[in-house]
Amino acid sequence: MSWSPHTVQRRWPLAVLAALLLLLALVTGFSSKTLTLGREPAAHESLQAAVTEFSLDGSGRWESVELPDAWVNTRPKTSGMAWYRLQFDVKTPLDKPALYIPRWSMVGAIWWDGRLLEAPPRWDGESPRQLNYPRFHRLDPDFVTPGRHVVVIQLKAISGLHPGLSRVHLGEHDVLYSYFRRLDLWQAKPQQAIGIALFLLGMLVVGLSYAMRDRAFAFAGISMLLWAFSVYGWGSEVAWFGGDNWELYFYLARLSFPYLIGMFIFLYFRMTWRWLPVLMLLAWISVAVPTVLTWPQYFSIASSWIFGGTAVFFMSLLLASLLRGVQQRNTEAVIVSGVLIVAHSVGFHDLSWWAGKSNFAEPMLNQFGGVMLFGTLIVVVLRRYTRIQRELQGLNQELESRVARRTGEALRLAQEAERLNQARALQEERERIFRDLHDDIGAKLLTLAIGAGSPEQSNVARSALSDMRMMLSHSSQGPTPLAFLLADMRSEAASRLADAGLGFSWTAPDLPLDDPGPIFLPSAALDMSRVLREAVSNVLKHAGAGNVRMRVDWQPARIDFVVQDDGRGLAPAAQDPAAPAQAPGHGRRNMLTRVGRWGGEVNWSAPPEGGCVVAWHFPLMNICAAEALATPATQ
Amino acid sequence: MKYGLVVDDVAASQQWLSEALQTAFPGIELRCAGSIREGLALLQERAPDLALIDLGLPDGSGVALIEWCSEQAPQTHCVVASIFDDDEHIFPALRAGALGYLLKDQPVESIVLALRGIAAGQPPLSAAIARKVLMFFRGAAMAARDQSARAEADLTDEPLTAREHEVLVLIAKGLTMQESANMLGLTRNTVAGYVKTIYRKLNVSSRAEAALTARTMGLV
Repeated sequence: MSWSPHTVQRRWPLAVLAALLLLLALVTGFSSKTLTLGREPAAHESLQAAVTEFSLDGSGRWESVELPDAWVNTRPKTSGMAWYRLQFDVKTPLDKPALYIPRWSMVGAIWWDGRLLEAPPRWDGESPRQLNYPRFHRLDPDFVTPGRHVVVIQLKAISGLHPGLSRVHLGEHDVLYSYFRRLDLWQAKPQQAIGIALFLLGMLVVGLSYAMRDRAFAFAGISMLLWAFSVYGWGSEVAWFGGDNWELYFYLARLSFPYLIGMFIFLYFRMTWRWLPVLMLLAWISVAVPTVLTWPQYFSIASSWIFGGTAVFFMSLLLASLLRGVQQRNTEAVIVSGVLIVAHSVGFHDLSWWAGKSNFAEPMLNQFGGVMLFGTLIVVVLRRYTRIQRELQGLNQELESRVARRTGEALRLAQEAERLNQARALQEERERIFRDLHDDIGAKLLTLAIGAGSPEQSNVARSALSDMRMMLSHSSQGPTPLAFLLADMRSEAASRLADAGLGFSWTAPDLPLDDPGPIFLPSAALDMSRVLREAVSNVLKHAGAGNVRMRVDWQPARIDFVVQDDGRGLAPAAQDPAAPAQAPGHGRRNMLTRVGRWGGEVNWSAPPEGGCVVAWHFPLMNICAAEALATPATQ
Repeated sequence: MKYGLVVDDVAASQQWLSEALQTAFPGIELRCAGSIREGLALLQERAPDLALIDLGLPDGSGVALIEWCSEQAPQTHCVVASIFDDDEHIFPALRAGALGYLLKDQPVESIVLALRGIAAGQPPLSAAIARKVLMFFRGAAMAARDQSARAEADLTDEPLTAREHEVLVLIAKGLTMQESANMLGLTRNTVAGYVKTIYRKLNVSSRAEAALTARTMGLV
């Protein structure tokens, strides 16, 4: 058996302390050893019997006895009838004579001077009622004349259970009736009120089983309804249900209680003993079936043997669950199991009381055990209910915040998609324009290049065609990763220089093709290629060099290009970067424009060993596609 | 090279290419066409040794002519002469079976050199194309691995050898064919041979696909 780990763990020592205090109050409150159910009149308000005698089984052997005869185990353990004979010495006539018995137990009859005042419908049909009732009878004044009068009270019990009788008061109706009525108001009704209250609470718990979709609550609720039913029934003056067998039904209702509560515990604490419900059901059947079959003759046998066995079974079960709850520090489990044990212990007390084995407190403590148990159950169930409500609220809030977050995300994505759509439309439009340019202008430029009168014109046309092609290819490619761009740049430069018969060396970060480094904007990639292309063109046109060295460095914030040749060096004007626009070549101006557009710089210099060095860089921040910034690999 | 065909819709360009061809292969017999329809008619009439084909023709893409040659006249060397150099133009042409790809705005000397190279088995390969080819074979290898259990697995693409793969990677990184040859300790001609094989394998793959399709359609 194990408790589910998700039950609450909270301040259980406090709860146990509270339960102990409750138990203490209950025990002390009911430890008065009186047979009085209604209030006793004061000594001067009524006449007591001068002689009280008791006879067992009407054997004719009378012996003196003191009232109240408090079920002290002084009588032989036999079943059947018991007789009390009381003799009153009436001194003065009474105006409205009445007989008041605050309490008697079991089934009984009363005679006044041989006249029957009250008798049960049958002596043998019902089991002894284990309840205690006050009795009140008006007497005819003519019968209560001065002199000695005899009251005979016959009570019936069966083996193992004994009748009991409180003091019997003879007096004025008006005086005694006030005590009887008070009793009616304060004592008899509350028991039924408890039944009604329990019934309502039971309905509430059954409702919870639907609201929370938890069968455990159904079992708890039904057990409370059955308990309420039996409490209400036994608290009734008249059998209002079940005819001759009324007591059997109330009794069965109470017998079902341990099984139902056991099922509640099993489900509520999510215990893992799969065979436990079957065992509990068998225990219930083993009690209920013999009870029905042997009712009422062998009731006491059933109670002493079968009930004892099943009671031990349920008690062991409860003890185990209590220990388990303590081990796992599960407050709810400890409280519910503890209270159930107390309630059952109270039942044991009652059984032993009725069997004459104990003389402690009242004989019907189990009524209060039930109230205590169900009160606790209600608290526990409501506590879990409110906790679940709180959790639900928390979940709800979390859900709402998640929904809000997701909605925001979706909106952002939608905006992003819209932006991409626009970008795509723009790109498509751009490509269409390029295509048209290419188809219309390209052919004409080619014709010009082929048919030009001079090599210069031919070169201009070729260069224009080549530029257009580059614009077209880069703008249609989308973002370009560093490795791919460098490969294309290297390939182009190498071919051109090789074709011109120049030596060529290239130093650049060696990036794997499947992890090709930062990704550049198409327009930036175009400018980067164009700048290198221009640098190579300058070398080819003006430098008269034999070898060209190129170097590319990738750093976290920028990318650097250096092109060095061993040619004739710089023209003086070109060394002044402040006046590039006046420089004769379009090439350099082009380079400055294209690098400057991205926030970079170009420098021309003439190293002491001769030749020309042109160096430029692009800040990565400006040329990378959004969120594609990467750090350079270890070089 | 005894018989050459030039397909180009621009008259000046047509003439210029013819001159380049005659320079490269003196005495070559030449025919010219200005559209796919005309080119196809000439091709059907007699398959040339070398065909220079422009891609942007008035009645469609020159790729159709290259495909026709691959199917009907495999002995014809198809070479693209175009002003386009983007992957979207180069790659379909190579897949269709083109053995070379020339840019028409190059100086005529370059064209002549390249034409002789192609005839000598030295097809050009740019870095961008090399990357695309690498991707192509990688994808084919993955597909083959996925379908390894299937019976037609032997029909899927012929994989690259380690050497061919090396050549491709170097070229994809921007090295020229000569540089790659130096790096691998090979001659330029050997590297060119690998490139040719790569082109063939690339082309074979599409034929294999066609064969597979034909078989599944019940045609063969």
